[in-house]
Amino acid sequence: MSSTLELAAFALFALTTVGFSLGVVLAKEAWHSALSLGGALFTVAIHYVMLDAEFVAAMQVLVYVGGVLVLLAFAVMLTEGEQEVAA
Amino acid sequence: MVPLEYYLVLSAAVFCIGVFGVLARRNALIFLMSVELMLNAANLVFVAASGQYGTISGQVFSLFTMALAAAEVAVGIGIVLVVYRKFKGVDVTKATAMRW
Repeated sequence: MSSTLELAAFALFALTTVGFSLGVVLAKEAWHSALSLGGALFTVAIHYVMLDAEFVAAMQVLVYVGGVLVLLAFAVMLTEGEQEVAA
Repeated sequence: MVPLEYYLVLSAAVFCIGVFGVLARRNALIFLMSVELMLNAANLVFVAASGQYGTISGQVFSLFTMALAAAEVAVGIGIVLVVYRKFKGVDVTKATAMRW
């Protein structure tokens, strides 16, 4: 029973991870890619929690969603905004 | 406990999506995001194997990978901004100064 529930949860979050990852590479705008990357990183953190690696999950959220993603969003806005003016 | 093979399949799928992003897209920022995806796929295998074999070394290694990924993005974004200023865009096919 518990195993079935765990498999169902894994399937749900695995599909979400793959969907967000596809969103990263298929989105037309870089900003949408950055948002999808945030979703993908967050679902990977959920996988870490399911694997009993809570500290790695916390570091994933802190380092990736809090650091890397903010940095990427910063660069996306810095480049896109001026591109529209130039084009 | 979910079998290790399922995590291997998921990680392979995410890694292949990242490789596709690096090969098919021309936006330098999406390059960086795809590299992040691939690093995350590797991390997921490390943590899953660590749980499977009952050791903690996989989790420790994934923490090192995270620190490396953060440093890589910081340097990569510096490069992207310089490319943007020099070539008026982040299209990697436009940056031809060091290309034969």
